[in-house]
Amino acid sequence: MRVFDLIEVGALKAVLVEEWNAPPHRYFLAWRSLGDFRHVIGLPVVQEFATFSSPIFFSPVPLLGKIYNAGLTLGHGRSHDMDIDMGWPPLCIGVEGASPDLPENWETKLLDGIKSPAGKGNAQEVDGYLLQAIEAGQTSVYATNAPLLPRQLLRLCQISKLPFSVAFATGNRITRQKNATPVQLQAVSESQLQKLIASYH
Amino acid sequence: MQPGNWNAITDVPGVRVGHSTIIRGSGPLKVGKGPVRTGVTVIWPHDRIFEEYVPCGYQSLNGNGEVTGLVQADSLGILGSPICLTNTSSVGMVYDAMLSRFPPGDFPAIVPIVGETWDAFLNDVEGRHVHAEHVFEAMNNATSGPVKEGCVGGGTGMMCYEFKGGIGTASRRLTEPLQKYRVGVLVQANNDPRQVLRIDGVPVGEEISNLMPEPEEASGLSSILMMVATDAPLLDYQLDRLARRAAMGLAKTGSNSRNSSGDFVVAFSTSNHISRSDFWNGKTYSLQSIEQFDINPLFQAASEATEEAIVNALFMATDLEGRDGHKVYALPIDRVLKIMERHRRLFRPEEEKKVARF
Repeated sequence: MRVFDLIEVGALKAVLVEEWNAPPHRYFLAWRSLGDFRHVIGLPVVQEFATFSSPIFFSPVPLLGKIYNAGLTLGHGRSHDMDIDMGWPPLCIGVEGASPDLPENWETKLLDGIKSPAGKGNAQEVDGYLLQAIEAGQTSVYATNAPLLPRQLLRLCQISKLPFSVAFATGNRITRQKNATPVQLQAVSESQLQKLIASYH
Repeated sequence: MQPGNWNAITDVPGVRVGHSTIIRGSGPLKVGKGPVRTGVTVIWPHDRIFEEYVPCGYQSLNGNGEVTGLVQADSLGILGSPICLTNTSSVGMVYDAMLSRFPPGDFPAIVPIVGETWDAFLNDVEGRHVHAEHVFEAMNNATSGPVKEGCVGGGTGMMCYEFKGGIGTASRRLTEPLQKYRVGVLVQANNDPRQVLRIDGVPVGEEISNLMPEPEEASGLSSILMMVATDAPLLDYQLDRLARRAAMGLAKTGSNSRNSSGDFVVAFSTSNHISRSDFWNGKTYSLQSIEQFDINPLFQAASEATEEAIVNALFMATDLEGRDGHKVYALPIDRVLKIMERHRRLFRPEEEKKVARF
């Protein structure tokens, strides 16, 4: 039982929620940084829309641009006519101190891993919700299938002591609506949120 | 975009506005005695706001001021009380009065939103003449329908572009695909120097160099509060985005949001009512949200309505004399209309037809 799969190719990691290139959709995500951590690409879109729609990549800091580029190329089948939801950039987070030496054919291996995740990663269950967390370099990743809203996810990020943290929730799967029909969403109560946050400690 | 029925924040169904205006005394300032030119304005998002919260976001353009409850907006993303606008030194009293109206045994307590701007040029601000009775008066006399503008409520003693300012409001009906929704804005306008004032792009402030406040050494402190309401279903982070667009409406009137300003936007959506018990102690609760791809009409409406609300505050205010004989003049409307005509911003009906053909 897990919220996300963890794919590893040498020093590269990818957090994958579901098959990439699934029909356009997004999940809520929040982030926060401490100190001088700054090695992130793809954040403005997350900041504006409070959602993400791609794997989250972790790479040695010197390779961040390459990984971002590979993420764009591998994942989204980009074209000049693509749907805007398919064009969102991947969130790529740098890992300080990691070796920048990558195995041969790393791009192919990364794509294979994304296509057929090996099923790494474990979640705990609390009150019927799955909670999963990892640390990747200087970053904490918190994930849950509970329906947390962006500000609730930000509060989850705040429990990390690492320089950077992201938190996402798959409890609300946001898809594009026709005729301006509002999206139907759920949120957990404050008492439920406190319980979930306490469970990550 | 077209305005709503009242061209007011009350065009958003359920929103009510009330003022308590305190004008008392004249002559030299005697702190604690007056003269008093101040008040409080209360905005009810809906009648049961203490029991049913609504999503809320905000934007601080320049933070030299106070709006209580913004930390709560950051952490919880909700509004659980009426919004109060008053003068700088009365925030504590108004906050305290609002707390006394919360449901008994309400804990953990919601933090009320109380915003301020500085009316010391006309008002005995340090006399702190706004009391609980004034807050309750504004709460109790709040109505839907037309909203009094100009020298009323929290805006009584305020200046805007060094003309008499105060309360202004405007609204917009949204265009497709959101045509069933509205955006309304109410401002407490006390901002910016004369020379930057623009109305519909026309540099009106440059063209009217007289009618400055008397005496001219007016305080440089100035701020604006912009309250944005909509009945479109938006979440807190989307309301942050809406608040940013309201700031663009302020910019269109010429403001640069000065270093000394406390310029804040608070935005709320009345569509999602979240019951207090569900919010604190349930397991989950339901919400609706407009998709990002459909949100542009809301952005345009927030910008347009904010710009017009500020202009309306100027047009509706009247000359006012305050403490120590200080005087602030209202915008000379006849002169402004002539200026607008010269800049080809006013059209007679036959000219409108000509323009329409292009």
